[in-house]
Amino acid sequence: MIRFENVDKWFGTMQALAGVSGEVGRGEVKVLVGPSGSGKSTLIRTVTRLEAIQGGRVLVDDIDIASRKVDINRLRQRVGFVFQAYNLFPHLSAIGNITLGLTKLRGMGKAEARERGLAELARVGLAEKADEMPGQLSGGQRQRVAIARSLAMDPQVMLFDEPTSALDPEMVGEVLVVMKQLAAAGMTMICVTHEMGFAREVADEIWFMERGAVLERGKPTDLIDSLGHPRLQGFLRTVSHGGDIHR
Amino acid sequence: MGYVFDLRGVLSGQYLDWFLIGVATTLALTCAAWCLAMAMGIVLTLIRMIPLPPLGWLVALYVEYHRNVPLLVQIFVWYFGVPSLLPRPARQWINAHHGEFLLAAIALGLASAAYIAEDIRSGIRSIPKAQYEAARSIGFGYLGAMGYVVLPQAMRIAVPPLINQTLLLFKNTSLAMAIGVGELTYRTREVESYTFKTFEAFAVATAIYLAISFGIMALGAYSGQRLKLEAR
Ligand SMILES: Nc1ncnc2c1ncn2[C@@H]1O[C@H](COP(=O)(O)OP(=O)(O)OP(=O)(O)O)[C@@H](O)[C@H]1O
Ligand SMILES: [Mg+2]
Repeated sequence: MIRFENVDKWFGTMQALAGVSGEVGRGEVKVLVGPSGSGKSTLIRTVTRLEAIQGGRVLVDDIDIASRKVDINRLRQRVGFVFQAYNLFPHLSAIGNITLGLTKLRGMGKAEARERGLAELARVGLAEKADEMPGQLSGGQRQRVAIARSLAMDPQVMLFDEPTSALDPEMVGEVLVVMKQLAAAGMTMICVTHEMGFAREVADEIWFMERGAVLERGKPTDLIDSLGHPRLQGFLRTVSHGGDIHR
Repeated sequence: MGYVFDLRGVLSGQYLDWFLIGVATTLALTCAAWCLAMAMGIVLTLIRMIPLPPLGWLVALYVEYHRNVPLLVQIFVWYFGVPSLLPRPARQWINAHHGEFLLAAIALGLASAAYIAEDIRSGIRSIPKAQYEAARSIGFGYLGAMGYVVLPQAMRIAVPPLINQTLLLFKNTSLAMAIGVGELTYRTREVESYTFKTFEAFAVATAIYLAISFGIMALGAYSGQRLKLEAR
């Protein structure tokens, strides 16, 4: 479904991705972990060309996304992206955030879009918050609206960039529940997250990144339970002891 | 004998009609110029956001011209200069259709657009880039992301300076009298020269300008309040 082939990414003279290769099959869930600055965000951002790459290829459904034939706006409808900071549109209500793409990009009628939006909100447990403005919602609720906004576009893949690390601890669970439901429903997902419980439960594979490369990859049980690279073991200790290393 | 202040002389019969026609013309000119200014301001802003340096220079040139050349001169350029460049049928059409009103609206609108473009631009700058990115991630192109996500937020932030521009534009319509547009100041001069009641005539004009200015400010405060409520 998604294939990285020797992907190189430079920010000026700084190499953010150094020959990353890997594959995410249909229905698989991959979890990316690694220290800050290791290139996790950059890697998933290459999938929808939020970051252009300088070397290698990124393929979605065997099509090179850099090719001229690819309509990037169409591709982005099929690949949902969830941000750490939610990035809801503050001038639109929860349902307005969701229906914007349906009405303006899909050409859906207002009533139909609202119905669809309500269904997506129900799926993330927020049907009764449809007409609230983002500013009136808690962080966990905002992130769930953001997920619903992506899901409304019928994506075939969902990318998550630390969806819970801006949240207060008591709200992490409600977002993870939604993500687990998605995984159980067979969604193809790449998740940057340090929630090891989540990884253990739903990940088919964990990729451990460091300095722009995937240093180690394997089944969660193998990697987390001390069979992995010594660097990974050290990293996992900082995550579990120090809490979230991003705070 | 002292001067007797008497409004009846200027506020009755045909003189009252002249004032009313003047007010209507001033308001019409403000509205026409305002619509042009907003549209042009948004277009200028969008052009400036296209990452092609020559386009940016063109917009900068536009802004500098309209901010640094006296507005009266700009009006003269449109009234005396531009029609002389047009073919004769176009000139005749302009003359037959209140050309001075049209050309004054264009001059005022284009000048105001330069300021409005600056206000909208600083509004846009205050919207985090993540908003644009989120819109692109859903599948919006550049224009969709700007039009549905960034601009609506930027416009809310730009409301107070835009109200200011609207007030300036409203007051500047009085310059159109110089090319014979029958707006409020022009009509006031007429009333004054027919009645010789200089002070009364301009007192009435002043009161009308003030009242409309306050009206615009109140409208601005109201819409600002409403947008704030919506955005919460
Ligand atoms: N827009 C940018 N311009 C310049 N450098 C950047 C940019 N974005 C990221 N980088 C750099 O690229 C490297 C990889 O960044 P990236 O955000 O992918 O790391 P990350 O693994 O997601 O880190 P974190 O866990 O802190 O989010 C870092 O050194 C970062 O400073
Ligand atoms: Mg990151």
